[in-house]
Amino acid sequence: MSSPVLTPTTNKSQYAPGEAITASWVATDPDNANLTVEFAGHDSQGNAVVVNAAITRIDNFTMDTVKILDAPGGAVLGSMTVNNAARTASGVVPTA
Amino acid sequence: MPNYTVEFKGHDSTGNAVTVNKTISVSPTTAKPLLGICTSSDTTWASFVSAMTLPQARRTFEGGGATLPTTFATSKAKNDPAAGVMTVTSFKPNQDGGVATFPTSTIQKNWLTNYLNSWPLNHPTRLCGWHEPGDNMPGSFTFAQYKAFIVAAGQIVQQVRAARGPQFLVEWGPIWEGPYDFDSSNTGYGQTPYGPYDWSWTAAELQYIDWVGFDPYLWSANDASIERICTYDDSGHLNTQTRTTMQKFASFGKKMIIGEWGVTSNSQADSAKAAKITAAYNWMKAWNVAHPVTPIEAALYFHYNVDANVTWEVLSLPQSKAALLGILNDAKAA
Repeated sequence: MSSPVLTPTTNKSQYAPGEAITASWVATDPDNANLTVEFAGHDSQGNAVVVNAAITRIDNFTMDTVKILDAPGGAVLGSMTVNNAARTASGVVPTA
Repeated sequence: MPNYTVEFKGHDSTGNAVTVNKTISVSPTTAKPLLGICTSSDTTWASFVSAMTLPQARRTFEGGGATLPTTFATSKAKNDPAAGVMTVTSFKPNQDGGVATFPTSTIQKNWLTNYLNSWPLNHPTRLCGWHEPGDNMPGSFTFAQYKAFIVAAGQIVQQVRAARGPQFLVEWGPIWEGPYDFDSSNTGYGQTPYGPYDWSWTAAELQYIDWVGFDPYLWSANDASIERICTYDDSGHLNTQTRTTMQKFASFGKKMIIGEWGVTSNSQADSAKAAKITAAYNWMKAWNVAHPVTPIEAALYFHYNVDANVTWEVLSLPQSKAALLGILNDAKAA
């Protein structure tokens, strides 16, 4: 039950008012784990067999909102449109 | 320049939430460039301010034939924070091989790191390395060496910015001559073997550059306007607009600084000089309205008669003085 690690990136660091802004991100999660599925059985002569298969448990990440604030923790100036399938968000830099 | 925060909020499938903020900077919404002045010394700066008004920015130069300052307190910009003016300053590396060896010179890189670490926080500064390099290529360094210097120094600026945080307001950029660099009549220096219009930055290099600058001057009474020499080919001598200064600089996608500009008094009336000063500022405002992504953030008039037989200063010229005062006041007005 660990929080994901989110690394967002904007297409630029400096914008003009009214300019389009796009963002993308990479999320990794400590809860992701490599698991083993163990298959144990036997035949009618009593010969046992055990076979393992590796699987990965993925803790999926969902971006809920991407907003533009006027300062850290400040007023919301605008919201960006989130596309979780493409792991991108798009919007427009506020003009005021 | 205000900073905005882009707030990313998400969660994983086991209900763990995460919020990450990323800071972006946004250009001022005003179309007016900041106007500044370059003078020869603190004394002439004070005289200018007394006779005119306090400009919004001050242009200074370090290094070259003089010893580089080791701290902000010993730099020519040391009085800018108290005066409330933005610093636009440049340095010419002159230690341990200079520009040509900067990327591999521990002495030079340590000097720049320490110099930047001495910079006051919350003081807007536009820092340039070796302005107008065309004058010195290929004699002092090659274009490739100059570009490597700009990138290496830009990396140091970014490292210091990361370490000192968002209140560290030093931004890094190059200043070229501009029109004359891209003028096919310029065969005297800089153009061979680089060739006219062979000035470029790759995307990888541009990530270490915050702004781009140039220095347009009206050296001759026959030069119609700053707009003309910047927006027509060959310093405005041609009527074509296929490889102009503004096209070139806008192609970098960065805000611009006019590090120096001037209008000569030579062979033209005070009224003509005054009109060109006012027209230049009006063109800068118009440019910014039309180009919000690549605006002219600041422009610094070269009020310094350093060039032999050319008069840039205005204090003895009533109409030019009034024109320069007028645009300085307009730039400061809301």
